[in-house]
Amino acid sequence: MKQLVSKIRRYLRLYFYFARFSLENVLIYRINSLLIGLAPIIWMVTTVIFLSVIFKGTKEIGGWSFWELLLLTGIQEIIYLASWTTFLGNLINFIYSVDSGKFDLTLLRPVNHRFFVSFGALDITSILSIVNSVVLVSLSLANLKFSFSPDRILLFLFGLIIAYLVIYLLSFILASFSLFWIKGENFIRWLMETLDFDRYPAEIYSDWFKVFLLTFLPILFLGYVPTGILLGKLPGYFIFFGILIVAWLYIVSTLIWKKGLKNYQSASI
Amino acid sequence: MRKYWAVFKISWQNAVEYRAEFLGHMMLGLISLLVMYFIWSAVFKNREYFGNYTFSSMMTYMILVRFLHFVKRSNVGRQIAEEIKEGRLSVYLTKPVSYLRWWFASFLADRFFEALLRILMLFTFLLLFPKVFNFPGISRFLMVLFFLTISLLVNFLFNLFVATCAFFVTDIKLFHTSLFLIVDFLAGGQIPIDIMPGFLKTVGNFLPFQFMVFFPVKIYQGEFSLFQILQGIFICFFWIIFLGYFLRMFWLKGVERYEAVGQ
Repeated sequence: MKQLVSKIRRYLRLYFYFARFSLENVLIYRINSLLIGLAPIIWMVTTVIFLSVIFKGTKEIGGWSFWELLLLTGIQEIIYLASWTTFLGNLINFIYSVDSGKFDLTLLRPVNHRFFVSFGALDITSILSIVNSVVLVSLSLANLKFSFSPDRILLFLFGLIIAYLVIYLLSFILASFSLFWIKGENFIRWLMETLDFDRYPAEIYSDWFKVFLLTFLPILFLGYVPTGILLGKLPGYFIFFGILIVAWLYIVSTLIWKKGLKNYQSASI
Repeated sequence: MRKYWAVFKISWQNAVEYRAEFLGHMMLGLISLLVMYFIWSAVFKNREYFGNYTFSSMMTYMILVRFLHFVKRSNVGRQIAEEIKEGRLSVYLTKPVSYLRWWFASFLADRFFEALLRILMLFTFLLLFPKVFNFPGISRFLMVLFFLTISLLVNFLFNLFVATCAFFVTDIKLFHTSLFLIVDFLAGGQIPIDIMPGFLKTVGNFLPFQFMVFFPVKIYQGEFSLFQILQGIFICFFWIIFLGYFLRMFWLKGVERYEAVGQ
């Protein structure tokens, strides 16, 4: 027990140094200090414009109103930005390091390699942007007239944790493929692109496609499931499905990672 | 000219080197097309028209937007800015080559490769959803392709123009990402400019970004007269001269200021 506590403390301290180093790295350039968080604001504004144009011609899409869709957008964006802040950039760098052979250096470090390639740096630029998403979520909630219940909020919070774990595990699995195919950056880009399916209510998709997005490529757990639960559009047992999906993805990711490490050939440079 | 042809060939070989990446690249465009298909199907569920668009004309627009992705891509600007920041530009400055022509050759190879990918993606999507795409004939398609050569030049110059900012502020990554999100939107990459809210429509029609997406698609859809097309080409050339002039000015000033820090 004592050993475990000291291990956790060691990794937390390490993570603190990663965060400090990442912040210094961004703020070293003055223009970055001024523009930090601007891109997600622009993305959000263009998305809101896109949705407002679409809703000029219709009152609802797949049974979801304008404000419900904005809530979905905001919640999904919070998860997406949290992912960028903590691990997505690191996994992309990991893919490049496999391509260039620099991954050898990571393997020599006295730290858990999976932890290091996933959480070795923080993208501080995304942290402030989460505030915009929170504003969007608050604005949407204020315009939606529904009553909260504590159990629904609790399920929603569980949903957010599952969402974060699902996107992490999916990204990690795809990044680990680079240990087999070397050039793997497109796999992550491909995943980022599929997240668009989760920006809209799943009711607009055909039934088989919806099942596909809830099981084989479970990206609907990022925004659609937590939002659906919060709005009372989805039953609470989706959280149970989510836990099963997370467990399954964890097993798969560990198997692929271990097999990938054996397969790594340290090519290039 | 031969040395730039060699750069073109090397860049082409780089692009086709990894097959999994090739496949992944194609998948990217298909996914966003599928999303658009579902969302616009939902919008058109209970109506025939949205603005001046029918479902098939809107889908044709969206399909062509994905096809034209290769025209509005901005990776060249980012790569050049990175070379300036890292000090790798020095390597080129000491060689008997024009750095900008070098990049132009590489840019063309890259875009040519992506254009082929996008055509493949287009056909794959048409096989899956044959009824949603309007094909007005090969001559209109060729006219668009001709116009795209001018659009590519506008994009290349704009990319370089943005990259030169790296001489003055060193790291432009955040600026670049933010700027190109706006460019994509104002080019008509998410929604056609003619259904944008009033103020944005005016801005979109004024800036050159429309020539990367909205304008060529409208040529394809036969919504412009010959006079309007010629007018568009004329405006494009104006922007090429404008960007070219300021690019040269900033580039020379930038190289003067360049300190080759970094590696």
